Amino acid sequence: METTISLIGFRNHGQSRDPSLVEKAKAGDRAAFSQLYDQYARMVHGILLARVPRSEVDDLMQDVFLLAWRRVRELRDPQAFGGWLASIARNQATDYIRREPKWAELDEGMLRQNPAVPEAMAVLDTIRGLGEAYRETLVLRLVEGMTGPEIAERTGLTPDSVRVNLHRGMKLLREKLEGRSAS
Amino acid sequence: MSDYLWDKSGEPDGEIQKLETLLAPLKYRGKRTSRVPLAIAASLFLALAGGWMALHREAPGWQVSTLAGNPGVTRLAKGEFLQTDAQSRAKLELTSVGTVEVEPNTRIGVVTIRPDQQRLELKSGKIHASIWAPPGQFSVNTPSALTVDLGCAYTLEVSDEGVGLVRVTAGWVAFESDGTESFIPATAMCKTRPGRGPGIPVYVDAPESLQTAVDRFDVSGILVLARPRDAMTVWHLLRRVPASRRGDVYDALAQLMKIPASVSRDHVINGDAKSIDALWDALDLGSIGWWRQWKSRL
Repeated sequence: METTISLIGFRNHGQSRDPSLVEKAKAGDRAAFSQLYDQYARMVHGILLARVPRSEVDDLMQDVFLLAWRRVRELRDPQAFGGWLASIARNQATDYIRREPKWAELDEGMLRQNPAVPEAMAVLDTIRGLGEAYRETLVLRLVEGMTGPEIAERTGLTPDSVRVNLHRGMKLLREKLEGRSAS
Repeated sequence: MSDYLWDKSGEPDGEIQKLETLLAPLKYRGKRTSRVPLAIAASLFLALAGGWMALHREAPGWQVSTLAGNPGVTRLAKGEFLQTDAQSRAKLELTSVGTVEVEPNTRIGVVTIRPDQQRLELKSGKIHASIWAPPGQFSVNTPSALTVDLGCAYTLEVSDEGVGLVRVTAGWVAFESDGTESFIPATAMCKTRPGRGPGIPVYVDAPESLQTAVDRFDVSGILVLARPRDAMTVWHLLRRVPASRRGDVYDALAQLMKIPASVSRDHVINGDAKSIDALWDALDLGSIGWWRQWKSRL
C-alpha cells in the first residue's frame, strides 16, 4: 500500500512583476537586484512581522535578501520569483522561531518612541494568534498596506485564496477584538 | 466582503481604516543601513568562481555538510545513499528546494533529482525537512509511504519495522492512501503503518490516554477523551467508522465544536462529502479546498 503524505502550503508561483529584472539579477546585476529589493521589501517585511518579534524583522529581512541574492542564479522560472522569495522569508522566520522559541515583543525604547505602538502591538499579537493562513495575509493588507491583488501577485497565492483569507481572517479578527474589548 | 478590504475601492470600512491607522507605525519604512550591498559585492567574487565551476559541473546532487561525526560524503547524487552512524549527523541542501537534516543511524538516498522533481528515499532513521520548493516538487519515499511536500517544516522518522511517524512544526500535512486521507496540522503527529495506511492524527499535547486510544483506534475512547481542541482528531473518525457509528461521532463533534448551519446530522451519517468537508473547514485549521486543489496536481 502506498501512502501519500502531503504538506499543505498556501503557496503557488508568485508572478514577478518584471521577469527581466530577475534575469538580470541572475546574471549578477546588482542594480536589478536592488530594484527587486524595493519591489518586494514590503512583502518580506510583512511575512516576517507576522511571525517574529518586530525587533528582529530588519535583520531577518537582510538575511532573506542575502540568501535570495546568493541563490537567485539557480531560480529556473523568473516568474516564480515572488513565491520563491516569500518561501525563503517564511523559512527564515521558522528557523528563527526554532532558535528562539520564546520572545518578548514590547521593549521600553519602542514604548517611548511612539505611544501608539503598544496598542498596535496588541492588535498585531491578536493577528498573530489567528490561523497560519490568515495572519500573513492580514499583516500584508492592514500593516503593509498592500491590496488583495498585490498580495496575490507578489506572494504567489491565488487571488481567490487571498480573498478567502482576508474575509475569514478579518471576521476572526473582529471577533477577537470585540471579545477583548468586552472583557 | 466589502471591496475596500480587497482592493481599497468602494465604500471605506471605518473599522478597517481605524486598524490601518493604528498599525501604520509597524509598516516597512524603507531601506535602512543594509548589509546587502557589501555582501553582494563579496558575493560577486564567489559568483565569478561559481561561473568557472559551472563549466566543470558534475551531475546534479544534494550538498552534504557535516553536523556531527563523519557522514562520509559531501555530495549525494541520484542512486547514491548516505548512512549515518550512531555519532554522525548531516545536512542535505539543495538550493531552491530546502534542507534536510539527517539524524544518526539513518539511511537516506536520492531517487530522483530533476528541475521539477526531487525525491529522496528514507529507508530508516529520522530526518527534519524545511522545504521551500514549489508545492509537490519534493517527496520522500519510505517503506510504507510516499511523502510529498507542499512547502512546510516537519520531522519524519521510519522505524526498522517500516512504521512512519510525521510531526508537523509548520503548515499542515495530509496523508493519503487509497482514498483514505488524514490531515495533520502544526503541532500534531500521525503514524502510517505498512498494510494499514495512515492513522488518526493527534496533537502532541493531547492527554496520554487519548494518544493511546488513537494508537489503538479505540473509537469509544477517542469520543470520550477528546477535548474541544481534539475535534480535529474526532473529525477523522467520520471517514473511518462504519455508517452505523457515524452518528455517535457526529454527536461527539457537536459537543466539541460549532456545527455549521449548512451541515445536517443525516447528511453526515450518510457520508455526504461536502458536509464532512464543511465540518473540517469549521475547525478553522485551514480550508480543505487547499488540499483538494493540491491533490489534483499530484
